[in-house]
Amino acid sequence: MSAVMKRFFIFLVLCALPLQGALSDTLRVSQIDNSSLLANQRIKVYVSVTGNNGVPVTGLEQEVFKLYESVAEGHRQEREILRMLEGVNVIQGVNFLLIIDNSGSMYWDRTGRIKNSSDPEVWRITSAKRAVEDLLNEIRNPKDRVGLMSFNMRIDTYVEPTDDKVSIQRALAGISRPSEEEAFTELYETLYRAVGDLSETKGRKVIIVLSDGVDFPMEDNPYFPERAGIDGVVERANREGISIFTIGLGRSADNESLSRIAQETGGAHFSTYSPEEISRLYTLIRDQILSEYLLVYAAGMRPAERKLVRVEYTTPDGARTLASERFYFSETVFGFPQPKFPLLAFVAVPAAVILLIVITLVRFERKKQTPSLSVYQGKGRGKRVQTLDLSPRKRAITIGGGERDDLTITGDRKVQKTMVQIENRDGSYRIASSRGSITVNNRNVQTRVLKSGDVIKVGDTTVVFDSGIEKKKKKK
Amino acid sequence: MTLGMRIILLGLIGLLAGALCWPFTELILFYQASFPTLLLFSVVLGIAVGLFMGGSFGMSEGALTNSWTKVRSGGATGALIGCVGGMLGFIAGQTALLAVGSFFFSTTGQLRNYGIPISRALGWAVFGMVVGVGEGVRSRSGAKALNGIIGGFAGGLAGGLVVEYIRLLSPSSGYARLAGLCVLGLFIGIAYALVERSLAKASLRLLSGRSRGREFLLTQGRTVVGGAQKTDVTLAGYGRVAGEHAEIHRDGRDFTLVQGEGKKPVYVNDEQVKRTVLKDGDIIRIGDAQFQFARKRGENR
Repeated sequence: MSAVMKRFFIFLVLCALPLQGALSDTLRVSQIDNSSLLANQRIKVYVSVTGNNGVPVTGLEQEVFKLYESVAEGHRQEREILRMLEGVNVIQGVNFLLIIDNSGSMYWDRTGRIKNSSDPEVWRITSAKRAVEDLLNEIRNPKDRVGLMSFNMRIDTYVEPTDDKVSIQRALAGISRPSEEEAFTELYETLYRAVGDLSETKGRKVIIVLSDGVDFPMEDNPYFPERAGIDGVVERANREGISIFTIGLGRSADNESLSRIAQETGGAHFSTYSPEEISRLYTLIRDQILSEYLLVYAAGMRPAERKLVRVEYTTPDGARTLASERFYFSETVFGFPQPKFPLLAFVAVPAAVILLIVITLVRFERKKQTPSLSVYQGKGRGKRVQTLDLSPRKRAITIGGGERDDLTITGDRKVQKTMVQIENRDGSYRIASSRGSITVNNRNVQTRVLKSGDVIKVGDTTVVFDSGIEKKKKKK
Repeated sequence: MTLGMRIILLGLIGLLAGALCWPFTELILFYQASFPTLLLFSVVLGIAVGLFMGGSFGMSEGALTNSWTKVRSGGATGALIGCVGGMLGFIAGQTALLAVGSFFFSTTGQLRNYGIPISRALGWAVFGMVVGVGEGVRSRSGAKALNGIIGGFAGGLAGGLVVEYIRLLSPSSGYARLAGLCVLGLFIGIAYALVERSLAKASLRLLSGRSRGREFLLTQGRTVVGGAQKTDVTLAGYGRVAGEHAEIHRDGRDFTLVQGEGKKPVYVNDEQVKRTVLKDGDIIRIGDAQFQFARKRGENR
């Protein structure tokens, strides 16, 4: 094969790439919204149907779709489509995040042969910038928002999705040629972060990434200390329900990886050799999203962490049936049941009931019979610091600060040697002070017979007398 | 029984309540697929948990005072209120899930890790609140109901967070759920007792006899002291105590001791009274039982 033939062949292949899979109809489940699941059991499925050249197919009837839900392989169950809406994204608006590769090669010409031209008209990035401008001009729906991000070894431009077109244009003008040191292409990490940022936005979210190279990570890149890789991007985008559309520009673009990202996130991949095509592809992607169908159905009740939704589309002429699948996370607020019901669990019922009865039957009372003196110290009512049991045979008890007293109170400066004497006459306890009056039950007395529960004030210390529990009182 | 003991016992009753409702939650979870909607499923689960937890907390006052009358009336009231609470709690959890979840946690990852656990914990808090209100409804006391609302909410929220995160860590383990439900009950019980203690402006402590050291919090507007089971301060095993011997009325910051209908003698600091405003440290004698009245620290006057 001659060199000319070879080049012509490559050209043919490259021209055909944008039409990849576009000669026939395609069906794609682009997003599943499970946010109404708990409220009314509804799941919203966004479906995109495209025909020739990726042009969206509009005006379809509900009957052409069939929907199945499964919790695991082989458990597929058809669910009735309760409602179908077309063009729902026109009403709700779409959040676009345009990501543009701003590596050094974007400043080459379209073929990649002229690498150091100073004429911006030659640069690939200039076409990309124009495509963004075109898209901005095309968008008339005030509910649509556009964000912009450009990257090389770091994210060097970022404007969150906004309806302020001027700020996007300003950011676009600010995208400039990276220095030699920045000659890395952190494609996956940029996407991972973009998905994270976009997930905070509400509504239908779409990322369109344009790249002319392969992911070329820098080791120990301080801008991306942690790495998610291509798997991380796909997983995160799926979890957040964000579709990533990819455009590979030129022959060095990593179309294989870009295509994988698009397929697994509900987007579509396009490859083009010509920078002027970018604008048309942006329009096409937008048309596809705006023409999505919304299918609403009631979710099944089988417990599962995630469920697979399968949509089948039969072409109106009945010739072909296409299918597309996507997972959604069915939140398990209560956890999952055990595989076998634990009958033994019901043992907990009598066990708990018996213990509750025991608590009810146990009397939280003292059993002690003997008379006693309890000492309380501290602020307010104080804490019990000690208790002295009174032996019935003991005739006289002294309370004071001395070691020889029967009840020695320490830690109270006002308590001196012997303060109080208690005399026991056949179980009747009479109190008397060794120096003047004493305070019993907040009352000054010279002497008196103590009743159970009487409170004796000694200095700053409180002594409570308890006559114990007498059998005859219980009988009463 | 001291206040510390009361906290422990209420916590224990809560824990047992958790164990009691566990097999029923397992049963309902097992038949999840048979429910038509998630909402109905949640409501039934809420009723099951509420029935047993509400019942257990409702009977707790009776259990601690050995009063079968209170066990029966409290348990029934609590179970009834618990059903409502369980239902409301779970619906609230879902509403919170939708409002909080989709508003603040727009990302699914955040929703899974924070949104759902936190909003469900809010649901548990509402549940705890309604369960806690049971004793207040039984004793027709607004103050106790408030106590239950605050305690139940705090306990439900704390316990709910633990339950939810235990569930997140081991989603399919039935024993994790058992632990979670027990923790939930435990926290509601403890929080109820703690709030009760911090809300009470004054208390009576028994100085003598079989229940010496027992503390009665004066949380209600009207506290009845006597030997009958339906009284708020029940004196069992004390001589010369009438069924409804005396009452303590709370009026703003004042607590007034009033002689009961039976005109049985009531003494304050060894002096017979018919009606008197209590001061901090006053010694009250009712029959053979002697109490000390104490205001909470900082409430002295």
